[in-house]
Amino acid sequence: MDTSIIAMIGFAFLFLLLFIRVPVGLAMMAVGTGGIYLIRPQASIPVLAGEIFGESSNYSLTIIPLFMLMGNLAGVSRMSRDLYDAAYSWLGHFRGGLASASIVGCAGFSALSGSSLAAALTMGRVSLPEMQRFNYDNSLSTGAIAAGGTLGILIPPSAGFVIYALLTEESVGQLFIAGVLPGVLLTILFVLTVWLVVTHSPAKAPQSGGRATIRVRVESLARASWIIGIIMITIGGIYAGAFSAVEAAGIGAFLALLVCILRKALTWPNIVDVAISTLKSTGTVFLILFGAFVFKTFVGFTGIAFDASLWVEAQGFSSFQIVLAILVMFMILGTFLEGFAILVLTVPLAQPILEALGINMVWFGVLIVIALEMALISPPVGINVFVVKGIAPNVPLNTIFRGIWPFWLAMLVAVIVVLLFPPIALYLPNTMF
Amino acid sequence: MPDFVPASLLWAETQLGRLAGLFAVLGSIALLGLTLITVVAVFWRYVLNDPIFGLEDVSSMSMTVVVAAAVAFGAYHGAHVNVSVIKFFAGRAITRFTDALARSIGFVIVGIATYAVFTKGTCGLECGAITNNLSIVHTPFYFVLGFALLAYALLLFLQLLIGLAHWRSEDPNEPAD
Repeated sequence: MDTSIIAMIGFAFLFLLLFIRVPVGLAMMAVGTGGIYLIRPQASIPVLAGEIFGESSNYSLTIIPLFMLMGNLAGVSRMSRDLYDAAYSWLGHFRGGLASASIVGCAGFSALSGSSLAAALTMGRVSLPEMQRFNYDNSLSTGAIAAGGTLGILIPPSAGFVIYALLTEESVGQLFIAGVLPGVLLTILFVLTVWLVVTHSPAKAPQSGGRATIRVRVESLARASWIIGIIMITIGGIYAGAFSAVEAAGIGAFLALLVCILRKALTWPNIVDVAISTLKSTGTVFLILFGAFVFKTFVGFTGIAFDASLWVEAQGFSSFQIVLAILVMFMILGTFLEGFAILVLTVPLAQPILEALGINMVWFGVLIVIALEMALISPPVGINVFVVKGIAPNVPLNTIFRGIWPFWLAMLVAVIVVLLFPPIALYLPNTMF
Repeated sequence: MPDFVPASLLWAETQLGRLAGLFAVLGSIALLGLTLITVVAVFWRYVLNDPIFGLEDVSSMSMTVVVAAAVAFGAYHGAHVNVSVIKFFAGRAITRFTDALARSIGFVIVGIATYAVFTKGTCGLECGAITNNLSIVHTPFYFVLGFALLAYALLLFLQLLIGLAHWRSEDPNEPAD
């Protein structure tokens, strides 16, 4: 049988398995192993074992559990609370200030955690009760947290960038740094979105308090200096060339552990909580990686990606058209597929096409991660929405999704801006040491 | 009326829960080790200007233990994501069949993966399966991964049986959103 046909059948089977709720990693593993068996029977078992062990022992990937650990330690050490308080003291007096503070808090927490779920969950627990106390509209408060949480995979450290780097063999450090300015841009766009929503419907955000004095603001900022310090050391260390991304992750986790000890937050229940959360998140990512790399090998054996790049070349599409088409496809897939699943399914196919067109893969990585963020809040399977639903059980899902649309549009604006002005993503990586 | 679930299945589920707990302990220790190894490597490299040879190998192998434990523990706690679109089209009348099929497929592929990992791991030194610097033999780490995958396979099989036992009522292991 022609390998292209095997590839097509493989993709069809994969979607079928995903549809019947086979875990994403196992679905890719099953199709990948079966597909390799059809093309090169002797290779299927060694590839399966080799990829599982290869990803498990990949030194570059130690970054994932270490950054997850850092984020979880930051959560239990109350550093997230300090961050929120600091953001609130500076922004709280504006209309919609609590929602804006939640977003800025999420952005800050994202710089300690590579997971959007952790960012939404941790900041949601802190900020949602405050917004409910001041009678914020449920759609605005939950929408702000779900959207703010997505910054977790754009602002470094980011699990999305690590997986993308692994798939495309780009530098994790460069991708991390490339995410900084777009992350700041998106944070500003989210705050602007809150302002627009509240200006249009003032009843959605009643005034929550007076302007904090300069002394209160400075004190709150000082309390948040722990978290700011760790961010400066880790992300600044990568930018300055002092640390590799793996070293930054280890140092960051260790510093977060020290802060926990200093603040007497390292209680037994907290230790258990941190260990469980870190292991669960790590397990989630690695099972997908096992499947993704077996599937990627299968796709490589079929040669379909190369065929696709030849086809694209023959059609004479411009690089802009191709990037646009992939992003649109990503957004559509995001409405029914899990974000990381889209990443590992599409990137191995898209990479040869993009590289043949001379597209900068770091810039494309930033675009794709913003699109991935959109998938995280797109109905009906936006996973961040379900996280927020978990901490706001009294708010109907429809209300949360209704509150998300303005933020989804802000993300679309961010995609367009980064698409039209690549230096937003590429300036910092090009100047890093 | 709830279906009858044999006590042996509940017992097996409890035992797998204990096994997951053991993996969690193992994984947590390895995770702490991984953090400390990285800190030591950075300190010796940048502060003492005397990099320790081969620490990367120790990190990689610690990482294998963390990942093995995380996959097994995550499986027991429903951390492995699936796409739950089907629930928008079909109710329990359909999903009881598709879930059984999904678990069967999952059991088969994880079973094959377990076999693959044990087979390749057994080869060890003869196949050159050692780390680059310290020549640590991969075999025990393949085995840790193999046991983690075996635990996952057993869990999927158990969930299949429990799902079948709950054929006419709600499935306690219904895949999460």
